[in-house]
Amino acid sequence: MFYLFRRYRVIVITASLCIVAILLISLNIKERKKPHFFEKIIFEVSSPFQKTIHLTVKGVKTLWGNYIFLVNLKKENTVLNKTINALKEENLRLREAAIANMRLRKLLLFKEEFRGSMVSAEVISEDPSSWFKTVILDKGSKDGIEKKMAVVTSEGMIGRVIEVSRSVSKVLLSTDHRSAIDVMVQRTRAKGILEGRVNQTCQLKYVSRADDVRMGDDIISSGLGGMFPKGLLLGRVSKIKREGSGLFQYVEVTPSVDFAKLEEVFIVVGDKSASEK
Amino acid sequence: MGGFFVFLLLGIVFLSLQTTILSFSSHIPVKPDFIIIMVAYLGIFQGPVRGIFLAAALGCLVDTLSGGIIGLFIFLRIVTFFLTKLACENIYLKNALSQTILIITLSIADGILLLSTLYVFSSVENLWIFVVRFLPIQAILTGMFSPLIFLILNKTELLLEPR
Repeated sequence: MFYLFRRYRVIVITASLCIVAILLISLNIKERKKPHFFEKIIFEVSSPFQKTIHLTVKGVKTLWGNYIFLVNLKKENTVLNKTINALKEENLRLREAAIANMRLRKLLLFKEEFRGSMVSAEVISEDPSSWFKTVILDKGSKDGIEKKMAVVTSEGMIGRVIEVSRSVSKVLLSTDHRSAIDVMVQRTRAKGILEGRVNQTCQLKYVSRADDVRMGDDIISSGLGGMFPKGLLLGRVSKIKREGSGLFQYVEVTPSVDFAKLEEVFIVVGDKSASEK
Repeated sequence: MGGFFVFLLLGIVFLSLQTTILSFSSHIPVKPDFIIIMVAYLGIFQGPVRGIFLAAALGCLVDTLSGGIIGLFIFLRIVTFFLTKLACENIYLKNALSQTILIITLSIADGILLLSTLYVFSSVENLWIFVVRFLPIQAILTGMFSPLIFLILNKTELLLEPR
């Protein structure tokens, strides 16, 4: 028996470890359990490396932008002036549109309500895999962060907290293929589920063909289920298809947040029901 | 035993670099996978038993920092190590070119295996198009970094166990 084990030890050990890994996958398939002690140690050990590299890169970028890259300042100034003129025209158009004006006021009021119940955090690293979209923030349980809290920026919602350690937490972005958020079209209140499509877009699913959805419509969180506060901007409709004979229409949504430039975020803490008025 | 922990520490350092500096842009939304390169190195230059446990440990590191299912990358890295060992027995892998080609091949195989595993356990409806589209780019990026990573690992091993 021992001779057989020695002869085929590589295959036996490989098969055993594969079975253990598959068992782990099966146990964690529905939802990631609370981080184990070993996982917490890895988080705590790796976060100083990530923070150090992140701060170093930030310092180099600041030095480059403020001192070395000034040669492009004049060109940038010309571009900015053109942008300001274009924005002035757009601002005039927006002020004349009653619905757009009310939407901006509602969003501003919503942000002011939440000011006291948000924790600011910085993104220190991304997911090591290219196929999953998560980020790690520099705030954890000692800062009052808990699982399932919504994470937002000034441009809109980016996702929810899925794991928390003492000093860091992990956020599942809305563009991850496992992300599913209850949302509605702000203009018509048509409800659906926003699912991530990994390539920086999302799909609005289960929207009936009879529902009125147009290009450029704002998609906001519906507040159903109590997981996310109501009214958080998630994205805008960028593609609609009503071909075929299915029950639902195909709606693609471009997130309002540029995930490639994610740096500072806010984690919504405190009483979520206070916002659902 | 010390070498085991040094490898793990190197894994943490490489993962930290991978998750911070190496996020290119929204136009190329993939990044090279340094852990595949480390596992391939283990498969070529390390013994089978020690190598398998190191590969599993490196997979565990990725699982912890990634948002995927726990156990997924442990499984993938063990299989990657096993495939490297099989390749070693039939192909000469001691030069940089063959190592780079091996790593590009392993990256593609790893992506296909990841999709297959996720297909068995959950849905890949929104993922598979993205993987198929960007997997070759990721494999080439990973292959490009392999000579550098191999050099670092080789020097580290020489420091730990001088011949």
